[in-house]
Amino acid sequence: MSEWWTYRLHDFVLFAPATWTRLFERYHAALWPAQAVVLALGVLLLVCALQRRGRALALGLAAAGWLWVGAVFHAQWFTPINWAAPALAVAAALQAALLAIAAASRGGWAARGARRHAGLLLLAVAVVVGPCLRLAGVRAEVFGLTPDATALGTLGLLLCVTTVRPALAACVWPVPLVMVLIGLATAWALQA
Amino acid sequence: MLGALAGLGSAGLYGAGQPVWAADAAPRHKPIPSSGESLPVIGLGTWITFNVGNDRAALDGCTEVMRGFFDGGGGMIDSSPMYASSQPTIGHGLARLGAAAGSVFSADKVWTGSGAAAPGQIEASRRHWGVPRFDLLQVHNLVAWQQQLPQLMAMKAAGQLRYVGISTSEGRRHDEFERVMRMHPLDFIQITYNPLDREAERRLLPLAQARGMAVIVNRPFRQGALLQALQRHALPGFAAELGVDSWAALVLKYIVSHPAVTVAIPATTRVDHVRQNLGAARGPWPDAALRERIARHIAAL
Repeated sequence: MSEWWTYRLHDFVLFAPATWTRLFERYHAALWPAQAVVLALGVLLLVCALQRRGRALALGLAAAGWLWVGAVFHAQWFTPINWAAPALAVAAALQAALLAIAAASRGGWAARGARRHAGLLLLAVAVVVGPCLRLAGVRAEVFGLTPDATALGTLGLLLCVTTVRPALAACVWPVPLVMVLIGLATAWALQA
Repeated sequence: MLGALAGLGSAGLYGAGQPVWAADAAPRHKPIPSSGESLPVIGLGTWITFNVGNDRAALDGCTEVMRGFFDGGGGMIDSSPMYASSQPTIGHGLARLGAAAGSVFSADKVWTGSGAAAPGQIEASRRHWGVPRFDLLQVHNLVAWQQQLPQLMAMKAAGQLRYVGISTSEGRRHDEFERVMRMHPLDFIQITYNPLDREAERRLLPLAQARGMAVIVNRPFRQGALLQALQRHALPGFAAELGVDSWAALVLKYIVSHPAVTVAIPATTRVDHVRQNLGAARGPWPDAALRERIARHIAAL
């Protein structure tokens, strides 16, 4: 892309705010009542993290969430209005695979402290607060169904767990971090 | 002051080549210099507004915008493969409207860095629209124009395409744009032009006139930002003299009354706005002095 410095953030957003909002409304209406099931699974994930037990189950649930977000949200719902969405679907599938590998790998839970507390807070917001708000009719993202909440909750979970293999421990961070940044940039551009 | 004192027979106030206001309030047309075919001066852009995916309600809303556009005498609809689902949305509307959309002038673009990929992309675009062939294809933002322009020229020579052009927006690559205009016999160019973005007045618009190229103007309202800013202010007194009651119509009259400009393509999701836009194609037009006054007034706000 030539003269890239002349482009602004909103030049990369291909759709209107109303289209973006309606995409989520239609998506959640089509999935209803899956949000309740996802909330139950989210509570289970949070309990795992709080009790420092079931690390493989917690990471496996997160992997399943990424798989769903990639295969359903990005590939089927987002792709019609964003030709970059297939790349996001691939990234989500990659993250699902990395989390599944991490679930099957040796590791434990982070020691009590600021890192763990921050992780639990992010996790609680993504897996419990978001779905509860959605079930109450408030516009909110849902961990395991929509990308930003899934990325945010995953960052929270990653703060709570440890992985023995350093390379794997490093590889699980970039995709959710980038996804959170993309989500923030999109929200910013749509409000600009 | 007013060109539309055309009703008094003051055609000279417009300058050579300017259309004369018809008393029956039919929308104004301007000729495509390379063919003489006339086009309604207000078209319809689809960037962002028509990218609604498979949202049935939004698709129907866009169809109504198209219905209002054609009912009001509109002609050109412009899109691009870059605009995601905008092309299928147009196709949905054309299919639903049938004969009511018979006046459509289909303007699309080729947008790929690969010359080999262009034919497939053009065919996919054509199928999205559901038209037998495009009236106009433009090289989007000059992407790989060295490969794409010869292909488009060959399509035109083979009767698979009626007109060839190039596009840019927001003042990007004007130097290269000008070089391509000088080197190739283009039918159309597409650029950004409005009362605040006037760089095209210096070189591109005069060159288009000299080379006999039709001019499509995109981003007439700076993607809505210009109108949002203007809404806070009352319309100037001379707006009434031009027969307009909205900033949108005033801005569009400013644009399409430039002698080099053929058509402006504002985008909208609202039927009332498309009607308002088409209102700029009717009634009095400003002459050069009033155009300058409009630009200065808006710049000062």
